[in-house]
Amino acid sequence: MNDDYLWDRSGEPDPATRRLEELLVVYRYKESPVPVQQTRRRSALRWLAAAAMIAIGIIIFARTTARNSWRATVLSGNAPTRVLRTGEELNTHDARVRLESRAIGSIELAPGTKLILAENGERLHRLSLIYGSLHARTTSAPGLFVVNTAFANAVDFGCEYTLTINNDGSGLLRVTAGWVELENSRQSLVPRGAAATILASGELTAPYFENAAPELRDGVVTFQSVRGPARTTALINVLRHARKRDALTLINLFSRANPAERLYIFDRLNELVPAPPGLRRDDVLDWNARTTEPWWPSVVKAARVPPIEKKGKPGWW
Amino acid sequence: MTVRTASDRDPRCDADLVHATRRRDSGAFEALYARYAPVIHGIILGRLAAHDADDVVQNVFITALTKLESLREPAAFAGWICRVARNAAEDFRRGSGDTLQLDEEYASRATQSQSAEAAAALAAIRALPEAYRETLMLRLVEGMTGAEIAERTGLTPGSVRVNLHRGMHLLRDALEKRP
Repeated sequence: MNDDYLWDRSGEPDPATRRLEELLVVYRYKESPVPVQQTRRRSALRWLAAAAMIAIGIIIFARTTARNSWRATVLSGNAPTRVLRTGEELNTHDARVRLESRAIGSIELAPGTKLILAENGERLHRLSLIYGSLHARTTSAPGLFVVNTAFANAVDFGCEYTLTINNDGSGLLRVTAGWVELENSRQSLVPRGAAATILASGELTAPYFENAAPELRDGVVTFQSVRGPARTTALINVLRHARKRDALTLINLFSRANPAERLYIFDRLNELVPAPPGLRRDDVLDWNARTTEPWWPSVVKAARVPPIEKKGKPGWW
Repeated sequence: MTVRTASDRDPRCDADLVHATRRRDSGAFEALYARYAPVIHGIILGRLAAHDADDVVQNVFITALTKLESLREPAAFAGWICRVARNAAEDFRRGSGDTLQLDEEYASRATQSQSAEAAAALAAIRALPEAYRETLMLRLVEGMTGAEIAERTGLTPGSVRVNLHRGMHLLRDALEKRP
């Protein structure tokens, strides 16, 4: 055996040592700053989702009548108001456009926005936002108005909000009144004054108040965007900069964290808003949606936001 | 002597990086992470299945970052974080049971026969006494030199040399006796 090679790979390579090195290299630590594979998989899902949305739009279009429509008005210029039928696609190009419905309220579309009026019935009004930005001001009952995007659905709970979607499916939801539920396989309940980000990977971030510390806002996004040291630093920054009302952000992180991370989230959340009786620190190691359910009412109270009006929904997560 | 791995380009010593991290310099923490992640990974791989190791590495650094204030001597960071890693691996194993058999699946990026051989070699290293196991993991899996192992674990170069030599003998014996 060549001890020099074993020590620092100098000298003649020892065949047995060399063979072991070649075999075992597959187990070597790999830096993984960004979950690339997930992005690729999500990209395929995004196209599938987009295709499904368009297909749904076409099917519904065939079954629509003029009765199920919204009025579309170009806000700049003198173009006449026209009726948007279910299944029709609208591209604002360079103009600002207002959509109005007696049942739902008013939706203002920014230039460069493309959407489909996908569904327009008694129980559900649904827009598919392909890209661009809309500002919704609704007066309808909670749950009646939904905006689909490639990665998530925004469900209105009596509110005012702005939703922006980029060409890659990523985006930002900013809520200025009431609550909006942003959902896919995860859920973010976003109250007045808060925002949530849709990442290009399709992940939804936890909601964060727009007046929270920049370190917290950036940290929430980074925590779910990367792995390795940047994720750890992001979590620590979120915990360090969380105010009492940011407990709402922290409670949303449980579903996005691994068991060890959950312990640190528990500790900080417990400092800000004491855990309810019966909920122990170790309980979050095996977290599921019901684990922290009893904590929600006091967290919402601490966040100083109005109670949510939510029909037929099972819980807060 | 100071040694730096390819991903470890920060010229500051451990103590300086620890002080800077305590002052919330995230760049310093990332430098410590880059410098020690392979060491922590090697230590954990000696105790846990490969597919769990990456997550536990991250957990070790969360613990390190939140408990860094308790480290009395910043220059002793190497030995301290290695202890944190051993404890984290044991905690994880107690909480999740033994899943070491998945190593072969993890190695399946190689050919099937190589995967089996790699998993067998890994298992043989894991069966060695701790001092030899960790040193060989760092040398054969993480690709570190003896000098790097000494600097990153807090062991003396002489101890590392002995562990490598004796550990390789034991490992070869174990692999030769394998059916």
